[in-house]
Amino acid sequence: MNFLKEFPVFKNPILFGLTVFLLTIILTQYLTYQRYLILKNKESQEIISQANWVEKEFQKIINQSFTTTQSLAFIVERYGVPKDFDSIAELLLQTNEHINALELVNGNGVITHVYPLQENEVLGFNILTDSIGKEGAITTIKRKDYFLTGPIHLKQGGDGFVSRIPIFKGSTFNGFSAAVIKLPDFLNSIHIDSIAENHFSYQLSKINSDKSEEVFLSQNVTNSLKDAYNIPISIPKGELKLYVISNNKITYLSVAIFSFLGIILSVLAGVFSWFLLRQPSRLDKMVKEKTALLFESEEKFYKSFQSNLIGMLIVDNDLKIVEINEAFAAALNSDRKALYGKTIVETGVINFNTNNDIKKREELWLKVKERGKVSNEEIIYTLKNGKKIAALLSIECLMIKNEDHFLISAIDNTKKKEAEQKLEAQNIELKKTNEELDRFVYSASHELRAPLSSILGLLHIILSEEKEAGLVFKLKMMEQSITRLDGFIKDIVQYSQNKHLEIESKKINFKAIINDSIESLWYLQNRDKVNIQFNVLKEAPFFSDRKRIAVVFDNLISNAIKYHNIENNNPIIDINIRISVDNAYITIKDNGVGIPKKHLDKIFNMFYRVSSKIMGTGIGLFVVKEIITKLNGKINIESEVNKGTKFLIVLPNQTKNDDHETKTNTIN
Amino acid sequence: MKPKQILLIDDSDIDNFINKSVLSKCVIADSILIETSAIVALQYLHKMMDDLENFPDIIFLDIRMPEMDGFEFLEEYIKIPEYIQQKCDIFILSSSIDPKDVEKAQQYKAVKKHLTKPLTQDLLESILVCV
Repeated sequence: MNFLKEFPVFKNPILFGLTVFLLTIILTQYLTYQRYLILKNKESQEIISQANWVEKEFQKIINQSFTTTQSLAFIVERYGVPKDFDSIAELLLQTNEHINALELVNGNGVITHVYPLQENEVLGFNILTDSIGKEGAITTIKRKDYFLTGPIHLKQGGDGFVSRIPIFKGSTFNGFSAAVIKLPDFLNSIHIDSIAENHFSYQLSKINSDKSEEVFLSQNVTNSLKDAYNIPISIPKGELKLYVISNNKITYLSVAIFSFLGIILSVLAGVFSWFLLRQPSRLDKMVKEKTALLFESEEKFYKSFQSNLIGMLIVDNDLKIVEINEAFAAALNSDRKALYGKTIVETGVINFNTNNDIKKREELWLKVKERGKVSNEEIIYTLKNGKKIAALLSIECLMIKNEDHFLISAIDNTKKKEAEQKLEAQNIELKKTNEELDRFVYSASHELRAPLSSILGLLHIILSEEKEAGLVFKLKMMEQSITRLDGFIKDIVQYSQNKHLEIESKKINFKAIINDSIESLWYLQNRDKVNIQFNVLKEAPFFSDRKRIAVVFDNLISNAIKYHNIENNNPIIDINIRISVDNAYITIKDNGVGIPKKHLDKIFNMFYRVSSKIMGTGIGLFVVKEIITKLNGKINIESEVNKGTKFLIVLPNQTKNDDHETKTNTIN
Repeated sequence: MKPKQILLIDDSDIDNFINKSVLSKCVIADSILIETSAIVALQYLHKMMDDLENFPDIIFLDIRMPEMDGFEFLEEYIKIPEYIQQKCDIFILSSSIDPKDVEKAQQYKAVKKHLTKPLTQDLLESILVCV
């Protein structure tokens, strides 16, 4: 089919259709014309044979009329007018059935004898004086031979032919013998009045002396003689012409229909050819469009596949590499083109010898088979050159040409992994540093406290033995200074502890903590004079960091004792604790000296001290605030000078499921 | 109140002096023995196991000591038969305010209480009530 496309006509469907149309119309019209010629020929053959037949019949009649008139003339010339004219005439008419009547005319032109007389009452009629008959009679005399006159209007009525032979006596004209043939009989005898003969029409004309034709009979003739196919028959010894005309108009109609069908066929063939040729060109166009789209899509895919920073790999069901991008090849430290058609194992770029790898790979494939895909699986593989690479692997099933394939994407995770490991190492280092710092703080505090407590112990011994007032006063001042230093060391330790120790969430027994706290404050002046009372309303168990809460109570209770108004009738510290599922609400209220309003907003600042009269380091409340912030709690203070101070604390209940929050705090 | 045999284990001579001074003022103290080494103290206790009459009723134990510290001493001490242990109360007497030390000490059943130095008359009286 392709070679056809070499011709321009096959490229243009319209041109092709037009060509087919023209060829078909030429062919069909030619065939129509041929058919027309055949029909025409057949018709002319038919008409000729008909004409021949008619001529023959006509000739027969003329012969009969010639024979009868000749016989009668012979008898008259030889024997004179016979007495038994009627019997001779009857005999002649019996043998020549086409003749209607016989007549004898004398030298004057008067009809003397007629047979049969019936219907031919023309006796005594002079034909030479008759306007109609005269012309034929005179012609006959001039010719001195047989002559057929007619058709004419007969004297006896109707139309007919009259054939005459002149009779001469010596050279003198002595009359005629005549035969009459009536037209209906004539027509009948040559069968041209028959209905069966409707293929043809006939026209009978008399040729006048001036050569004009007088039409006598025109049977079934609708067309004029010029249009119709006709054959004239002329009688040599007469003056008439008979036209045979074909009636076969249906022939032309069939030819016309044939021609018309040919045109329709040509149009159909043209349209069909156009449509047929257009079809492949349309398909061709569609295929071209789709191919362009496909090419574009493939181009997009290929570009995005190849230039992707994520390593990508397509393997078939046998794990042979079908497609691999640069990123993946680079990760494998290998040439991309060398990897096609092999499995990863076959390429040998990865060392799969370690058991760990094999196990992990088997797990991965099992997952892929179960779920159809895996995503972001951490995997570590070892390259041929011994380099370890951490990657995040995603595998997805892919159908290519109805076969299972796998799309493997890998992100090099080495840097992230290294960063993670570094971070982890740093974390461990940091923890170690913290622990070391803690140990240092405690060791240092111990080393500081050990001599201090020795000095304090010695002071107590001296004070218990010494009675001299001046010395006791100085020793007491020494004791105070050392106690303050000791308190400062304790505060520093607590601060450090809050900063570095992780929160340990444990069930809190507030009563035990408060009792321990009160007991540890035995050394404070006036402790016994202050009435400490507390009440715990427990709706739910409370979880928090025990050590930190103990520090809070130590500090707040010791403050409440230290800043108490001893002159007051009933110095009291009232502690109220209500525990709900979410929080612990703690109020510590005293009726001590109170804090002036201007100090209240700075009371939690580091090294901030309200009064220099009372021993303190300015760290206690700072540590309290730090601890409560660390535990995600809140602390508020209400105070009035000489009336007392009230601390309000809200601590969240760090139940077991609050692990996350706890951890967050640790990081903070 | 029954007179008590008291053993002080502390590497600091000054603290031993102070503690002994405070304790001697306490009427119930029958005899006060001072050991500056936990190892020697342990040897003494082992020796005293044959002489239960003179086995200490109260031991004041420092934590931070060279060679064998307070906790190492306790680890050895708990190997002494239970019935002998019941006869004796151990008080940790240390200048350490490390809450970890306090917590650790409380894990030993033999330890009655963790005390912070210095030992004073008041402190002594408050603890001897529970003895």
